[in-house]
Amino acid sequence: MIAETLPFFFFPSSFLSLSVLPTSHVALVILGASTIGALLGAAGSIMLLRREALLGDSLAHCTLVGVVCAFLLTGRKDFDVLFLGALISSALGLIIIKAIQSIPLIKPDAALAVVLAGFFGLGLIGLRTVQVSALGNKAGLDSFIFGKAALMTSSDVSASLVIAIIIFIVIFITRRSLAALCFDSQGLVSLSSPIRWAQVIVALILLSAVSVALPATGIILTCSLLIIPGCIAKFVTRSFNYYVICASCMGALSGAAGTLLSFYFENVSTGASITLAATFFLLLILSLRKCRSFFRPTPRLLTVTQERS
Amino acid sequence: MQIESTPLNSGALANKGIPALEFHNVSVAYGDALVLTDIDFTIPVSAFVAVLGPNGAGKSTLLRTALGLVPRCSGWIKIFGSDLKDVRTQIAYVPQRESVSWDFPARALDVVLMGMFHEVCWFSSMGPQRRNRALEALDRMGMADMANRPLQQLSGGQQQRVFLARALVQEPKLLFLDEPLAGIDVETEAIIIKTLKELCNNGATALVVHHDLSTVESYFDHVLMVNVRLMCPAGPTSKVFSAETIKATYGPRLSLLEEARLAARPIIHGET
Amino acid sequence: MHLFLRRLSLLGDALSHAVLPGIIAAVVLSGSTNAFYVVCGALVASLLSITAVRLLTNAGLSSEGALGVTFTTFFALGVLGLNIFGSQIDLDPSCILYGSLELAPLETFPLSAQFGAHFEVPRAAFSSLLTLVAVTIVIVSRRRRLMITSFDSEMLKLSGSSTLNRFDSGLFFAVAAAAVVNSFFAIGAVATTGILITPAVIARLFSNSMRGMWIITIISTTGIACCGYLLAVVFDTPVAGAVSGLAFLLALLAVFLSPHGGVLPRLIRGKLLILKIATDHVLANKLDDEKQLTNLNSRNPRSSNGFFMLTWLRISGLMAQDGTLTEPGLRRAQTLVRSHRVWESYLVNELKFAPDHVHEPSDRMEHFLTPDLTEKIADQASLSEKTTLGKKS
Repeated sequence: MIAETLPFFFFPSSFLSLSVLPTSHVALVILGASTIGALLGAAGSIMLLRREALLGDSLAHCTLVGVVCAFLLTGRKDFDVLFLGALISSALGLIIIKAIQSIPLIKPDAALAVVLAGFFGLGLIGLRTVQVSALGNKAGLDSFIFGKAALMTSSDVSASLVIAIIIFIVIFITRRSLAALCFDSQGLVSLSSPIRWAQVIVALILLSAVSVALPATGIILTCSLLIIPGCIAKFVTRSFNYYVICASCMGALSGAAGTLLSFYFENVSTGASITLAATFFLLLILSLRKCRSFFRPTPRLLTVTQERS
Repeated sequence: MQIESTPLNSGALANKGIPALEFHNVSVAYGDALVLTDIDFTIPVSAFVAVLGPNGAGKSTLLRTALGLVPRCSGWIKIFGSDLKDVRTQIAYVPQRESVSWDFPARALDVVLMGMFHEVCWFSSMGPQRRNRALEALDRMGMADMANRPLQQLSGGQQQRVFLARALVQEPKLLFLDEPLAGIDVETEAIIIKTLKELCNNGATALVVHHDLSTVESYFDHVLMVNVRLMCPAGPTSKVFSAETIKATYGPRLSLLEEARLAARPIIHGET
Repeated sequence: MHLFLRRLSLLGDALSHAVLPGIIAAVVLSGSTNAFYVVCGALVASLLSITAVRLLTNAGLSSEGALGVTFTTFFALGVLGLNIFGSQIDLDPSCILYGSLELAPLETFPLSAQFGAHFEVPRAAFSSLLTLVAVTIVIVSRRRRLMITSFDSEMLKLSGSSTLNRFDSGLFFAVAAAAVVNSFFAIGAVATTGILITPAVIARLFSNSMRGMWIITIISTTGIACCGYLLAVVFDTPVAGAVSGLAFLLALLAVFLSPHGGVLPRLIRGKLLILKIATDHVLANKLDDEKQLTNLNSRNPRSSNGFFMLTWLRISGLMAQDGTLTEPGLRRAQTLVRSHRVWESYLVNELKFAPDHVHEPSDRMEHFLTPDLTEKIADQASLSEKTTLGKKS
C-alpha cells in the first residue's frame, strides 16, 4: 500500500542500492550511520540553538506509538512503513507539546515530560498488543530503544540517504530564515512570512530526522546525536552556516567512528559506541579549550550568556 | 537605493496629511486577560515619540500589536494609511535585548546582514555591496572596528548598537524600538539618540518605549502615555508631558487605576 | 511536584537512563542481583550524573545540552557494561525501562514473617512506603524552604546561610533521586517520569496555591496509580503503559478543559471579551439616541456584524425583541454612562485635565468600572452627577 503511494522513495532507493552503495556490510553500516549522524547533528544543532534540545528526546519517545501502529496496520516492518508511522505520531506529539506550552502556567519542559511519558506509555500498551497477537516479539522493543544499526540493510541506508539529501537541500535553501529564527524571530518584521514558514520547516526537519533515525538507531542514540554534535560545534564555530555544517560533520564522524569501533570490538553495540565516540569528541574539544585558556593568560572579555527566562 | 528618496516620500505623505501610525479603538487581550483597552492615537510623520508608562502597562504590547505580532480584540491600525502587510518593508523593529539569545554563533556583522535577508534570494550570496552597507551602518553606530567580534564578547551597549545597526540597514520609514536605552552606557545612549534624531529629521518616524522620565523632554518631541488605557491623548511633548499626566499615568492614584485595571478582567455575567 | 516547579521535569527521564551503569556496576561488583546493591548502585550513578551535569554547565554548555549529554553518555556506558559483562549477569535492561510491578507481589520481604503468613508484604510496597515516609518527612519539614527554592534560588542564596542552602538543595536532590530510583523498579523509568510530572501539571492547571497544588497532586497521583494498575490488570497491558497513558489522557483533558488555564476556556473567554466590548458600545449608544447601528459601525469598523451583537444582547436579556432596552439592559447602560461621567469628573477635578480632553479617556474607562468602584471614585472626588460634555446627557 505504501509502496504505491511513495514511488519516489523507492525509485532512488532501489537505484542507489543497486548501483552506488558499497556491498561490504561494514562499509554500508558506516555509510548509514554517518548519514544519520549528519542528519541528526544538523537538526539537533538548530534545536539546541533554540533552547529546545530535549524536544528531540521527547519526540523520539513519541515515535513508539507510531511505529507500533504502523506495524499493526500494515503487518510489515519495512523502513518506509516505520518511517511514516514515526513521522505521524511524532508530529502529533509535537502539536500537543506546543499546545501545552502555549499555556503560560505550564513550563515548557513539563510539557515535554508529559508528552514523552504519555506517548511512550501508550506505545507500551500497543507493544503488548503486538506481542500478544504473536506478530512480533520482545526484540522489537529492545531494538527500538537500543537500535539495530548493525542490522541496517541496503534499502534502509539508501532510503536514509535520500531523505537526508532532501533535508539538507531544504536546510540550505532556508538557511537564512533558519538563522533569523534561531536568533531573533520577532525583530525581522520584513521577513515575517518566510519566518513563519521557517518555524514549520524547522519542525518538519526535526520530525523527519528523528523518524529516519529511530527505526535504525534507537532512542538513546538519536537523542545523543541530536545534542552532542551541536554542543561541539558551538565551541568551534563563529557563524551559523558553519555551525550547522560542523555539527553535521561531527555527527557523521561520530557515526563512522562508533561503527568502526563496534565492529572492531565484537561485543559492543553500535549505539553505545557511537554515543561514546561523540562524547569523546566533545570532551576533547572542551579540554583543548581549557588548555588554550591555560596557556593564554591574557583575559578575554567576559562572555555574556543570556538565558531565556 | 532608497536613501535619497526617503525624505521625499515622507514629505509627500506629510503633505497629504497621512499619519505615520494610527490606532483606533484598539483593545488587546492575551487569552482572556485584557492588556490594552481602547487605544486611540495618531502619530504624524517625522515624529520622535516616547511611549511611557509603568511596568506592565502594555507598552511593549502596543508596539507588538502594531507589528501584528499580537492579535487585537477590536479596532484597527493603519500604518502610512495602509495595512501592515503592504508596508512591511518600510518598518523596522528593535525588540528588547533580553528577548534574543546572544550566544548565537555569529559576529556583529552577521547580525547586521540579517537585516538585509529579505533582499536576496536563497541561492545568491549577500555580495560586497551589502557588506559595505552593513559596515557603514556599524560605523554609524561607532562599531566599525568590532564588526568581526562574536556576539558573546559584546557588552550590553554594544549589543544594542548592533541591533540598531541592523534596523538601519533596512532603511525604514517607521521604527519601533523597545527599551533601547535600558542598561546601556552613556556613550551608547548618546549615539543611539543622535542617530534616531537624524533619522527623524530625514523623514523617518520612531516610536521608542522609554523608561526614564528625566530625559523625555530633551530627547523626544512627542509622547504617548499608556497604562492599559491611554492616559491622555498623544501629542507634542510640550503640550502633553506635564506633572498631571505623569501622575495620572504612573501614580500615586495608581492604586485606583490598578484596581480599575483589575476590574477590567472580564466579568461576563452577573454584572448589574 | 517540586521538580516541576523547578523546571527540571525531564530530570526523571534523564536519571532513569543515567542509572543504568550504576546498576550494572553494582551487580558486577557484588556478584548478585540483590536489590540492595542495585539500589545503591543506582543512587551512586544518579549522584554522579548530577555532578557531571553541573561540571558540564560550568564548562560552558547550556543546561539542556549538559543534561542531554550526560544522560545519553551514561546510558551508553551502561549499555557498554551490559555488552562486556552480559554473560555474567542476568539483568534485563528493558525491565528498568518499563518495570516489573506485576512481579512485585511475588517478592516478599522477610519482615512479613512477623505479621504472620497472611501478610505477605510485597517488597516493592515496603520499600516504597519507606521512601514515601522519608520524602514526606523531608518535604513537610522543609516545605517553606522548598517553596522558596523552587521559585527563586537566587533569593535563597542572598538570604544567607549558604551551607544550609546547599544542604537543602542536596537533600532535595537526594530525596528526589531516592524516590525516583525506587519507583523505577516498580513501574519503570518512563512511567516514573509520567507520574512525577503529569499530576503536577494537572494540579497547576486547577489551582493557584501551593497547598492546593499539593492536595491535587497527591490525590491525582494515587488515583492514577491505582486506576492505572487496575486497568492494566483488566486489559492485560503493561502497568507502566497503563499508568502513564492514563496520566497523559487526564493531562490532556486538563489542558484543554481546565477552567483556570485550559486552552479552550481561554479561547472562549477571549471571544466573549471581544463581544462584551462591542456590545457595551451598543448599549451606551442606545441610551443616547435611537440611531444605534450607524453610529456603531462608524465607531467600530472591525466589528461590523451588528446583527450578531444585537442577537447577543437579546439573548443575554439586555435588550427586548423590538430593539428597546429591557430593565437589566437599561440598568447596565446607565451604569456605563454614570461611570463615564464619574470618571470624567475625576479626571477634571482631581487630575486637572482640561475639560475638552476628558471625553475620550472616560469613554474607555466606563467599560470596566464596577458599580462599587464607581461609587468609591465618586466618594473620593466628592462629586455630584453633573456632566461635563454635551455628547452624553
